[in-house]
Amino acid sequence: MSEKTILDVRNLSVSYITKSGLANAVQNVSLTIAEREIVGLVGESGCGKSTLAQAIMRLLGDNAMITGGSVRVNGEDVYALKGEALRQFRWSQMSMVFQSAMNVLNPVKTIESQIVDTLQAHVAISKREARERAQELFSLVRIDPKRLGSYPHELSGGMRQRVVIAMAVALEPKLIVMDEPTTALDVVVQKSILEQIKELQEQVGFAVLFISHDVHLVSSLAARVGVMYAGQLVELSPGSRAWRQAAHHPYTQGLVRAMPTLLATDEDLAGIPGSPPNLLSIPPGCPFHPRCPHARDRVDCSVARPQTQKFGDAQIACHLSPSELRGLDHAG
Amino acid sequence: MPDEKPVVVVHDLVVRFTVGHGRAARDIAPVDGVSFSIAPGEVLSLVGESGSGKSTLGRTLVRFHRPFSGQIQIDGQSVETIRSAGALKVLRKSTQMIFQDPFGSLNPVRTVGQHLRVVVRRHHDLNGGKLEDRIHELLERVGLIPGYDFKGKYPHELSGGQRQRVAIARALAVNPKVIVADEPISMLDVSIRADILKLLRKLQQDLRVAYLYITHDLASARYFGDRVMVMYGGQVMETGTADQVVGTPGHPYTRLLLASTAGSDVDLPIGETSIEAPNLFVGRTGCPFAHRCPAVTELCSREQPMLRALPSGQQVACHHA
Repeated sequence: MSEKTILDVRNLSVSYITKSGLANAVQNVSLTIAEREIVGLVGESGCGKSTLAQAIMRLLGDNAMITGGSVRVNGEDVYALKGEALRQFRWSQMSMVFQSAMNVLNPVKTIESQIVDTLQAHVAISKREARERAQELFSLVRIDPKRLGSYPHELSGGMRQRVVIAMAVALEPKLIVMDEPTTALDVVVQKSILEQIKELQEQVGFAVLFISHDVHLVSSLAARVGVMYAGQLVELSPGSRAWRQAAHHPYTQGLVRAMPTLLATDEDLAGIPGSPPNLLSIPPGCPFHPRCPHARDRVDCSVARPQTQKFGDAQIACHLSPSELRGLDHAG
Repeated sequence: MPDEKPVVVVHDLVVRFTVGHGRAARDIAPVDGVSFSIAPGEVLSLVGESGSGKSTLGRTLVRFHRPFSGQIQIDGQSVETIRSAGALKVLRKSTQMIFQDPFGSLNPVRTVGQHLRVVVRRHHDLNGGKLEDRIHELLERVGLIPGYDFKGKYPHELSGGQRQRVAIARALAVNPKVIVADEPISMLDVSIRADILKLLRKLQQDLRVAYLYITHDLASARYFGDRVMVMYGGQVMETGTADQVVGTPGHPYTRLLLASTAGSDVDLPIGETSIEAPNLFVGRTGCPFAHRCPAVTELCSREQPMLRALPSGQQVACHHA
């Protein structure tokens, strides 16, 4: 693909400073997203997926530090931007949608005034123009523009999330990072918002990093799917239709098997034994080896950090050989 | 188990709450005329979105709410007539509840052993070694092995999955006939959900516990449930075996839910019909789903459809099914 790279994360590492030491929440992660591409990122709580999102947006708290690597959005080094330039860069080049719309919206201001403020803070437009743009944005996410005068609490959860998406789109950024944007919503609303994100993405043409714990959802939505475990990107594989045929990391296979699917018959449902590691003491070698069913009779898994290998269209960090992984996939 | 006497029988149950204050006060009916039964050792999955009344129904079965009208019989005891603490204690011996949040349902300053001892002592006359043996057995039954190690632990020392196992052990302590499990896996990490579901299923097989399994997720409802009941706006939209409801859905709402669930072969654009919450106010007319239904007619907003059997076997409350 000769498309332009919008997001370029290279060897990024982020640690949190805690009383008991450094928690390595993101370790040496590299990821690119092309123009107009949707890339999904899957993992359980504590795997570092939200930290990665915040690091891309440069929204990390004071207790976090970047210990290596770089983030470029549309060619611009995010960590080289200063003050006003960074403020302008956010929203206009990259924006973010969080899980809880209620925490983003100001409860004592109408939706309209919040959108108008955001627009005016970034572009030189009159109040009237900003209002007109707000109406357009509302129609874009299929909310009746009459609701612009509402306060956040007067809208349903689904509508609030649509408002937040409208605001993220408002300045036509190149990249939108969405961190569990539909998790708090009912299934039907979730589906309708996902449809809408796809529609908007086609119309407006931004790239998306879509973060979720739901591997079924992400693999059907995204063109490529990253899987994180213990701060590391253990897999990057093609999504949508190619997902089923692609090889997968033993952890990903475990995640897939851990959730019942709607139509499968005689399902062999199985959880992954153990629990995700504490980020203060990530196991040596492959971080997944203590829980991996295939690491038992292998020495390398507990000693050496696996290199990323190509398995067809997928990149997987695992010591197993391609034929071994495939064999597992078919057995599973 | 068709000829066995059901352990739960609910008939025309209505639960009402008052919302608002003073002149603005109005009554809503989050559960509005629901009937069903559960056989011993059977799993009934109750599926619905937020506001469907599924949690209120579950909480009414264990008598956290008092019904407005209708009957609930559990293991031969009438739940709706319970007035005394003594009668409630009898109910607690047959019916237990597991909650969504394993962090909120355990007391942070009590050990696992203390949590279980309270319940076992209240309901069974056990002391000393026998009490400890029973606690040991309960912990190992829910997969906290060796039970001895877990007894002295505090909730903060346990993972989410382990905490949920303690909550399950506590529910089992009284040898219940029925467990109401309200979204027991939705707050847990994906990789451990399957094991909790499998544990609940194993208990069903080993101990013949019946479950009302409350969930928003059709996939897990079908996996765990013998039968599935779909609720919307306080009423039952569809009920049948898990394969009937998921395989040949009869109600437009069930089809909408299916189309919204990943891995479904129902591919239906959802559009924007989905953002209004159902009207729960007492005195509403017609089908609660009418305002979102793609197949709505004038009849739907006028007349409430009754549950009736379809040729495929399940029961559906829809004028046009």
